[in-house]
Amino acid sequence: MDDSQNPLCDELESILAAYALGSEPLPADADSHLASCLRCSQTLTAYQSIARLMPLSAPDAAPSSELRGRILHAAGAPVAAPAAPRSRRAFPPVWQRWLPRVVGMTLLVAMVVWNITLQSRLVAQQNQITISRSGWQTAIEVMNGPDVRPYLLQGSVASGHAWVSSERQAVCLVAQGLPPLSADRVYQTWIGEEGKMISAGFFVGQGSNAWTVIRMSGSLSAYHGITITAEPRGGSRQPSGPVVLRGSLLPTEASAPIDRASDQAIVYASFTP
Amino acid sequence: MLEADPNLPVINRSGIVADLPELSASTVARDALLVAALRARSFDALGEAYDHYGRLVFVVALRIVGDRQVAEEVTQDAFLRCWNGIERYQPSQGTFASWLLSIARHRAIDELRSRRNTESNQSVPFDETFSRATHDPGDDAETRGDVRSALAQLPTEQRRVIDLVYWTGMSRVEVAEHLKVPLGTVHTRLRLGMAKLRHTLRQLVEEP
Repeated sequence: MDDSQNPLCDELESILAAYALGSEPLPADADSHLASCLRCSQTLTAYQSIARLMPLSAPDAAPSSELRGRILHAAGAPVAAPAAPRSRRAFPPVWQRWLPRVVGMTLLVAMVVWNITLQSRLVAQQNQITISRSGWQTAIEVMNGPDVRPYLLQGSVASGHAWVSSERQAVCLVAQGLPPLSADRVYQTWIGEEGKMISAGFFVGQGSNAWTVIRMSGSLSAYHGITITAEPRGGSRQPSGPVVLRGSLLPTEASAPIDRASDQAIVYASFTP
Repeated sequence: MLEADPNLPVINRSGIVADLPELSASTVARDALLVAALRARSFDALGEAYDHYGRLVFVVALRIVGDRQVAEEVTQDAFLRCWNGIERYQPSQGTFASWLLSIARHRAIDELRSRRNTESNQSVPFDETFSRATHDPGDDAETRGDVRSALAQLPTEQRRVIDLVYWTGMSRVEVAEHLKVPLGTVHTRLRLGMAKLRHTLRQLVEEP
């Protein structure tokens, strides 16, 4: 319907503006009008978009550096207790004045050595975290891709999902309840049907959960299933170990909703130092 | 074809394929991760949410209440409400940033109203006004400059009405009383001002 000449639309504009800017509720009659008026629904969307930009007009300012810690503390995060104020003591005898200095010097040397060791560990850890972040970002992008399709994976003990994104040409596997592996074994992923399986990489779990991203360079539609087996470290050319998880990649007519948040939490937990 | 090389890259415990090209994480993907982690009660995620949005939440609160200490209290309260109410966040209704800013803005306006002792029954629950935008407010200097410039180009009286409605949460009737002008004048100024912003910011404003 053409509402371009409807005087009600002009009247509604300031109501929609006040509603979009968050100062007034939308009257019921306006709500029903919006359902049938393209012009007003477009105006509302545009005004809500303007409201979303309004925070950027606020003058820039920085909160105090303590605020972050206060928020985390108030939320219940474990944080270091504030240092206790120093108390003044009576001036001690000479030997008591030198003893702390000797102990202090010894501690200082020890701390320098420890600090150097710690710094090198931190650098190594930082590098690892950086690499991990690029991994989980990829996983999350795959799981949130507009074309992503989740597939259920089932095992006798474990369960999981395969998040397939044709657009990104990648599959993100997330598994829960994996049985523990001995040090000489890895989980190996296979794509295809029984007797025609192609290896798609190895991974090891973190606890009983694991996730991994498999890169594709073409369509996944030619492959009908995913299987994960426990194989000797270094991998096998064909599945030889026990099947841990298995699932079909064939499209199904209807499937139960899959908890994406739970899988994302597993990905997130793996990189949290 | 899938990578069929038997010498496939070994994937470490974090799930990294060594030769997978690194993809930059979009804000949507990052926030999806943040929300999932907040729901899993990760304090690291709360810290990360603060690192991303704490400053923006603070400047919004400061713009409304005009006092740094109160603005920090509002910011803290907004993040705690986010932490304790993350289950109520529905991604289908808008971005995490929009939701968080809505909490902060309404909390700040409530604070402003209580300080002025002008509690109004027309306070709108944030869920009703929470922007259904599909992407985040850009926080880059260029966008910030565009928004400020667009507002600065408005005639003073139109900008004043928009500011009062947005930053103090006043209804149009309250604005008319505050400015001592007829209600119809407020309607007109608000309508014209928003229409001009829509035109000036057309590159940034969503049009279905």
